[in-house]
Amino acid sequence: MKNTLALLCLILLSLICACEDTENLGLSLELVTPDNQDPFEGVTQLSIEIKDAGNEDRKTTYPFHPADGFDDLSFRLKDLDRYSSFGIEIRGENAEGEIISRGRSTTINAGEMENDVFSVYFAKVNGVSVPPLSLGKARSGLRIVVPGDNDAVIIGGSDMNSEGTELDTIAEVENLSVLKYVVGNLNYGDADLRLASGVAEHSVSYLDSANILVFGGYSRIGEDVSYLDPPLVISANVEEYLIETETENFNPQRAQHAAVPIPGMRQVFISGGVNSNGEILDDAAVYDDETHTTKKVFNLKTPRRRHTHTPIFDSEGKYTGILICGGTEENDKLCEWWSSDSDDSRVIESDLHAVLEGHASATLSDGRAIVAGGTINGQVSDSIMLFRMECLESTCEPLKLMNSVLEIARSGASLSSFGSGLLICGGIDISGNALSSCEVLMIGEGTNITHYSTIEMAHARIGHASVLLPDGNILIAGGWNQTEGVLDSMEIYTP
Amino acid sequence: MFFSLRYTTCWLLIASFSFSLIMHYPVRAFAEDTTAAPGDKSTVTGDEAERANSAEAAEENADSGKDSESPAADAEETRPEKASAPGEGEALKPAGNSRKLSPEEAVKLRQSLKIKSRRKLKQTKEKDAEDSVMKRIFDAAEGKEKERFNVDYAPSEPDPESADEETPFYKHWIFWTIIGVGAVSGVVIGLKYGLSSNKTMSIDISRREQ
Repeated sequence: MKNTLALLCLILLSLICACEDTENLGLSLELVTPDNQDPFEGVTQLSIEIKDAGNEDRKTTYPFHPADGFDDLSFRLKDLDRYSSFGIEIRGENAEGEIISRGRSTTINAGEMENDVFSVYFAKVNGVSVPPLSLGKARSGLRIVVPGDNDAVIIGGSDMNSEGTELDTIAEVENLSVLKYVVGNLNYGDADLRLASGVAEHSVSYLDSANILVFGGYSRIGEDVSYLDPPLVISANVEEYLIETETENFNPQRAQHAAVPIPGMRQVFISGGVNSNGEILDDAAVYDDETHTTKKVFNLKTPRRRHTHTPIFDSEGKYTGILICGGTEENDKLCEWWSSDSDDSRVIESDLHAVLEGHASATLSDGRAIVAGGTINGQVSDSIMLFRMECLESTCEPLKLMNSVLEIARSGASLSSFGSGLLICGGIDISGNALSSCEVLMIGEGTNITHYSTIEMAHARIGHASVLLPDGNILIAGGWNQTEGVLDSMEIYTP
Repeated sequence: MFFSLRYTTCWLLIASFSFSLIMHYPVRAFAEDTTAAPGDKSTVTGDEAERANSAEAAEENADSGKDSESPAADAEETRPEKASAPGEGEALKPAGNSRKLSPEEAVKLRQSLKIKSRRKLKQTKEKDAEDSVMKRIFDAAEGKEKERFNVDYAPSEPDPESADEETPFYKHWIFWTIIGVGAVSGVVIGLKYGLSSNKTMSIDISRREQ
């Protein structure tokens, strides 16, 4: 009996030890700071906020006051509540309590990151900074896609000289890990992923966190130009990392076309472009990732190239259709609307008659769409155009043009939406010179869209790309200018 | 420190082994009590087994024609001495409320017995035959009809092979080890993940070297 009791006690002790409430998950956070600014300048306190990724109301803030400044930043937060997944926001506050610097992490999965290091890019708010990162290959005309929560994938582009003459296209696929804030070649399996040939004037669209569609474009080696055929899917799910896809009644050999993922479906809408004979195209197709097939769905009402596709959502966030704008020489067919419940597109009836090129478009956080900059009837524009879906069936103007919203008229700029704002960067001015400025627009109710600030980048850029990263920052990468030629640098805007 | 896989595994092994040890003895004792309990038709007392064996030996003697004694009488007369002797293993201990059986009852009981081990059956038959020969020798020499050597020819330890065949699964240590591992693992895993919300984490914050 005594032995039995002793053994029972031993078992209880074992269980208590195994399940003791002293288990501690160890993580390391590395603050990555810009090369061209000191985000700790003027900072007197860091507020470190840890948010439960599954419950936004569950969060804890830890103030940190360094005794000797922030130069030798090394400290530990102990005995934190353990979340299965969480995000960290670090805010640098000045003596008045204003937030002057900020860094956010992506969503951290605690189980997967145990004893590992993750990074947060910490920079001054409302500023463009240069991170200690650069592309492996300098490139212009690159495309960037964010397929998941932690990565931005950079595909294609061309080498350029300072006169803007295109040289060879680039086959290397690069990846910015937002979790670690490092750039490297995209690596699947044991080798770097590399396309069979370089590609430019192509489109890239995310299908899901593991698949990216690369459609169209051409490859150039010296004077030799060949159009990409068939379309490729870059996949992380199978041993074959490059999957060739089928097409039905749709010629995939095209460049300067537009493509956009159809929200809620593993499909991509593709239209227009120019073929190898220089003909501008008007056909439109949908790529279905389940069948790996692109099928023609209808014809645009006019041939278009270098036009834009912008998905639109209603006030409840439901996908309603795609706005197709610009890229045509017919000034009475400025934009088309392809409703999600229709088999065909239709021209948007508008009082605005214009030929629009070199513009950029973006979906706002409230589901509306903005078209900004470009050349309108041959003039570089400082205007923006707001699409109002509710006016399609009423008497109000569906394409609301607002002049002089931009401080600097620009064409060929990049446009990214964040929260309640828009960032438009680079491009060329009315003289054809590359611009190094970015402008921030704030989006209000109705047509209340105002210029907020103008920020200087470290480099003037044409043919660059920008994208909203999972940590809330906006990445601006690549491009070229007349003085530096093609660029391998990256810049980051911190909202 | 106890959270590591190594520690958890060690504790699991210790707890599982302890659990199997604890559970082995009480269940074995319970099984013995159940086997010896009267009134249960599925169990066989040592007394009944001895009676059946004696009846079988007597039947063989009658068949050989070498003994003029009644087999039934022989079975009846040998029963009291055998009842006091130890049987084969603990489960053959005699019950206190035995009674004498008629020859017909003895044969019927023998037929109803389930002797699973042929080897055991053979040993029992050999023992009874030898017992009968010795009985006749001593009876003739001393003229004492009711006296004979009280010799137990049963093996003092159960044969390993027959023990394996006869041991119920619930008395086997492997069974209780598996049960123990499962139970303890369930408790540990349940507690570990059930209490996970109370666990803590620490974050080391540093600045990347430029």
